[in-house]
Amino acid sequence: MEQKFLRQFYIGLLAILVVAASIVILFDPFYHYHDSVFGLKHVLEDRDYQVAGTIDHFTYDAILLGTSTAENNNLGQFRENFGCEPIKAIRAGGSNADFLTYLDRAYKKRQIRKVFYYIDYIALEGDLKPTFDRMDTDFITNANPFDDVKYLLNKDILLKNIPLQFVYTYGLSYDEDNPYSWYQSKTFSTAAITGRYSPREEFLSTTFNETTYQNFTTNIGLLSERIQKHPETEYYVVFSPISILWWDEAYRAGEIDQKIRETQEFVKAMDAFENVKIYYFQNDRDLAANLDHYMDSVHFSYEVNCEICDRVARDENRITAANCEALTQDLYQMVEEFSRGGILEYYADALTQ
Amino acid sequence: MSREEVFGKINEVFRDTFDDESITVSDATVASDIDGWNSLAHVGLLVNVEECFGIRFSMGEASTMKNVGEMVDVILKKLGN
Amino acid sequence: MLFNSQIFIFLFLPLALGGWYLLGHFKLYSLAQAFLIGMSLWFYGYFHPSYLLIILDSMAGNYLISLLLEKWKGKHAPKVCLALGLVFNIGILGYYKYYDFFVENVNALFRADFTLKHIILPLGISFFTLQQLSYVIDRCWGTAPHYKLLDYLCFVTYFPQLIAGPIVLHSEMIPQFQDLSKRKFSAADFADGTILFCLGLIKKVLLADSLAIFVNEGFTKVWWLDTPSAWLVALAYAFELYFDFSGYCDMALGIGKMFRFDLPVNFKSPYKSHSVTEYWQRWHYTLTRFLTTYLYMPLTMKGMRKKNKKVKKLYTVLSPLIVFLVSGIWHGASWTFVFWGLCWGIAAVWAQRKFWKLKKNFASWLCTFVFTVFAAAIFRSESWVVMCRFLKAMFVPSVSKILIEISYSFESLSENYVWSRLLEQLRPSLLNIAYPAFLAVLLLISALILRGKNAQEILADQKQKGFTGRFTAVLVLLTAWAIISLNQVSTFLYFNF
Repeated sequence: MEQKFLRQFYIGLLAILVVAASIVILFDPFYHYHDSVFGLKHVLEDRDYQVAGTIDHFTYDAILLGTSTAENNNLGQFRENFGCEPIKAIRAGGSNADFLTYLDRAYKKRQIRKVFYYIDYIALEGDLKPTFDRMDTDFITNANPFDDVKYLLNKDILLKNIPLQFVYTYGLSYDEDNPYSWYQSKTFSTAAITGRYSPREEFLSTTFNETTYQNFTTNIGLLSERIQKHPETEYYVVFSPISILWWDEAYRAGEIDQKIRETQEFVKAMDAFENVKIYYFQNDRDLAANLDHYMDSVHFSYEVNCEICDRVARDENRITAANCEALTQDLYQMVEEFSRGGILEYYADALTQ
Repeated sequence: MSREEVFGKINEVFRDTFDDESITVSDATVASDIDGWNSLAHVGLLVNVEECFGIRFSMGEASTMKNVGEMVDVILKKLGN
Repeated sequence: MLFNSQIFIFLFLPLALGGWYLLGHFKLYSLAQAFLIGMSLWFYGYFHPSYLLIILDSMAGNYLISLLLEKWKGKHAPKVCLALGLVFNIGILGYYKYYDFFVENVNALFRADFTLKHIILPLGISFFTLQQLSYVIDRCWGTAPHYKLLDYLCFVTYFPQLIAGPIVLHSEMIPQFQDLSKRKFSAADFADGTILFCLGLIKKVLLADSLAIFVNEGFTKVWWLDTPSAWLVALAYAFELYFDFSGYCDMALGIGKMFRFDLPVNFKSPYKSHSVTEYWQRWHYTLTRFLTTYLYMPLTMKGMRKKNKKVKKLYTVLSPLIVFLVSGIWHGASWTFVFWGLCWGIAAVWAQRKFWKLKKNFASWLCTFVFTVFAAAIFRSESWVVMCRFLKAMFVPSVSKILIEISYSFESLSENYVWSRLLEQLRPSLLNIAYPAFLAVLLLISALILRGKNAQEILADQKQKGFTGRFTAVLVLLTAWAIISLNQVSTFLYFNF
């Protein structure tokens, strides 16, 4: 009696679990084992789990590295502008070490013709270690087959991610060229963000943080290693715009000088390489000071991403060792004008007009 | 004192404690057999038994009695038979 | 390691069972026990290796006290050892569990500024401390022998009961470890164990964790709760707490059974109780047993022996109050738990009045149950402020639409993902009905399960019927569902959108 129960129970349980795991292996929504099958669309909504699989199994020859501000980039536009097949290796709130981990992983798998690297000061000044341990995503990024059970027997994968592949392929519309993008659900407006902004009253004297500076320098070195090792790859490094409110905060806190110095050193180091082009949008008044482009002091709209992509393709906004001092000085002047000239009043006036 | 005598006396204590003249206890009687034999009543019972026989239970004895039979055994041991 | 994790189910448990029976097969009985201790320490150290030092210290201390009693036959030995045992065990627990609470209160009271240590509470310390305390007290009362070291370590570390009970007694465990006839695999026991474990897993993962989504959301929105939603959140929490804790205990009993050891039954359908006293015989029974034996009995014995009637009366009122206050502070180091204990204490004193001989009818059940739900709300409140606000919402009538908003939290269950996305596209307004309906169904299912047989009764019933095919099929499906539910995809929210 018990033997019969035990046999039925354990065989039945094993059978169901094997079926569940097989379904996950077959449809593989995180692309851990293979590229998509049966013409299902690439549905990319969980970046921390899916980038590794994308790198391992997609067909591509270009890679986009960056944090949340690079997330809204349209891959179709890159394909058209640069004649390449790109993927996004986004790490929201990530570190430079994360990007380099992804980059190294990509070099092992594919011939990389172009790399688009979007600068994030926090990522470059931050810790030198990868941030992958902040979430339990290890099972999907490592090569250990035993912990794959977390993926193979996973309720969300079975009930959410796999159905989603079908829903987006046969039902709702889904743009494969815009994975991980978030702009659709956000509002970008001057009124909203100036309403939340309260600048500090006094202007602090210039400070210099030795630790973050050291990290920054080390990170330049780590990036340079890859560039040097791969002369066949063209590197496009982009200093995206940051809103004037963010710069105002840095100015009042006395931190702007460090940012400028870091920018200059970065440009001088990178410009030495034949295969690197650097683009600078931070001193662009329309992109930095028109707050209708922003949802907070850092995150800008989809249109800004498109504009940057087009200008880089046209080789505009280049920054080189020769002009970097002038361009950063221009940024400094812009910030100073706003900060000393009453930044909130300026936007209050602009809104009432 | 014989085992029967102890049983007789104990039965009286039970009837007094639980206010029920119909109670007759045996070796195997346990708490769930008697209505109202909760932990408070149990302590009351033990103290009444102590008074009745002029003895004192140690905590070890009080905590290990499983039924009335074991209680009687402890009492007999205390009384020196 | 938690029972409800895949590493436990797929790796640890098969290894532990395999090793145990293999060593038993070769008659290496002591080695098998040592193996079990080693596995239990791995189980415990998996949370945090430094916890091992604490449990090893605790066991060494208690074992030495027992050894001292063995060697020193002096007249004062029991009393001295009892004092030693109390100071040692309560000291360890006090340091790890209550240090910060104590300092906070001293600071508040005397406007002092002692620094908090933010000690992380080692898992299970409340349980293994009581377990060993009971042994040491029994030693001093002369009702326990001194055991072999291997048996003692097995008794304390035995992993099924290590981190969340049941609080076992030496007298019910150690004889089982010593009984070598139990070292042979038994299909009957393994089937029982499998069933209990799966029933517990299903209760914990499918019911408790689903209810928790709603309860947690309710408590984050505590400032906006209206009266109906507050009662529903409290009700859902009462259900969650039962399925969570009793489910975990069922798993413990089931694992115990797989090893052929019987652990004491800790939950006997508590929500069927007709009185407060009955409730505590059915809810976390082994804690009630501990507190009754080692606190209530000595205290009340002392009081009842007094000649003065008023003093006697005072003791009958004070002892339950003290017991429940201790129970409250044992459950957690905060004033809300003290208040919770106080409420139960008052209810218990009220219930022992003689004229209050409640019949077992619907009214007495309802009063008891409503009180339990009320107490659950206090138990869940993480601070005094939250508790006051929550109780206000319960007892000062108000009505709003907040319930709909809270029920939207079920969005995060992947079972709801596909249909809610479809509805969102087709008729978004229907979601306002769909999510509360989901809550209603979940509560209804919970209520029906609570009315029906509990895990022990289901097991007994199935054994009698010879395990019906339908039962096996349902158990397989729900177990597979629970195992798959152990893993989910989480989202890293890195900035405040």
